[in-house]
Amino acid sequence: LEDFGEFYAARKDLVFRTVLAAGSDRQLAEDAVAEAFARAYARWSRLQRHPNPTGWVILTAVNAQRSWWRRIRREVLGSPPPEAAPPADLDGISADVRAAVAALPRRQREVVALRVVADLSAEETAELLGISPGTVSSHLHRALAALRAALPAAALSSHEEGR
Amino acid sequence: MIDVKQTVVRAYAGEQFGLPGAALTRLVRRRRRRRVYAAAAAVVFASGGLGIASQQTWGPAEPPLPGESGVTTEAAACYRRAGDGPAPVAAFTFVDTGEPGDRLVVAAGGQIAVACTDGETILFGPSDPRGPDWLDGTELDFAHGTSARHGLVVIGRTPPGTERVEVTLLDGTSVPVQVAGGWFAAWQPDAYWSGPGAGVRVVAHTATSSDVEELETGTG
Repeated sequence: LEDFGEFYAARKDLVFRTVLAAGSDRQLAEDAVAEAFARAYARWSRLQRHPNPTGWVILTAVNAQRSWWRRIRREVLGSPPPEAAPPADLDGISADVRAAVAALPRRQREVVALRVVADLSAEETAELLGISPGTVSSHLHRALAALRAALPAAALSSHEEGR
Repeated sequence: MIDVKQTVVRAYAGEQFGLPGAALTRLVRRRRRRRVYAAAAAVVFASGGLGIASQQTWGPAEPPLPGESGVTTEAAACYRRAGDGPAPVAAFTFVDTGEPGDRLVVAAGGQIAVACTDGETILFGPSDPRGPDWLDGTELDFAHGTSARHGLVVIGRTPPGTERVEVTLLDGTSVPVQVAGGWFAAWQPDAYWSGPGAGVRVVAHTATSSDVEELETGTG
């Protein structure tokens, strides 16, 4: 299991960033990433043979996060849980970028998380999400266009506030 | 001009996953205990009859609706994704909550079987190159589908008189299997159909004999 320790140490931050981008709620992301790595640990002998173990952990965490979100939504009769506060040292531009990513439709957000934050290929992303590479490209194109439209204003306003 | 991708990457670049190692160990231990209990339940129930063991291991099956001969409405809807055809005669439900493709429904009838996960439909049967005798129920026969998303699905027909079916990966891993109506289905959500020695072995036991079919598809 030394291999798993190396895998965990090397990939945990990337997985966490990706899951955070895909879902936006910090507490749920932390829980989901912990759960996903626990599952990876329990199945490590077989997971090592997976062509993309990092992608598997990311998708397991994203699914767990989505499942918990649904459960929470049911428990509070449709109101989403309050988002955990971002880190105190998060600069204004980063906060605005995250808000813009969080405002994307779920599938676009997941594609941005996997393709941009995790830097997976279109084929890997398609395989993990169960959609075609063409659909991945389409979602990414729309997501980047939406972010491009939102970001200049966000960035400018952050600079203005900083003066 | 803003490089959107780099801006997004930078926005998350400072995040670090800070779960203490001890917390991960506790979570793993808790899951392992659950797995041991599940395995024990399988052993206890295996002597009680077909299908029960795997259903205890993988969560409760969908209860049948009146007049549906054990085929749930969910399974019937899954079967209809293959188009119009004879009514399904067998249905299976597997649950593995939280995993990629965490729920699998299988419906089978005629020479068609359909497996459905969240967002995916896997169709077995009509275009199989093995010809019209395939899946006709006269002998042990099966097909498989696999991906990183839903793992390994094995669906097949059992020969007449079958009392018990075992499905194992060629590395020895036992795969949960359910049997009904002359069909069987098995699902291993974290199995991957690649690498040297990959493959599956199916054994159908009757009172007097055992049929064995093995399919090796490893690339090594």
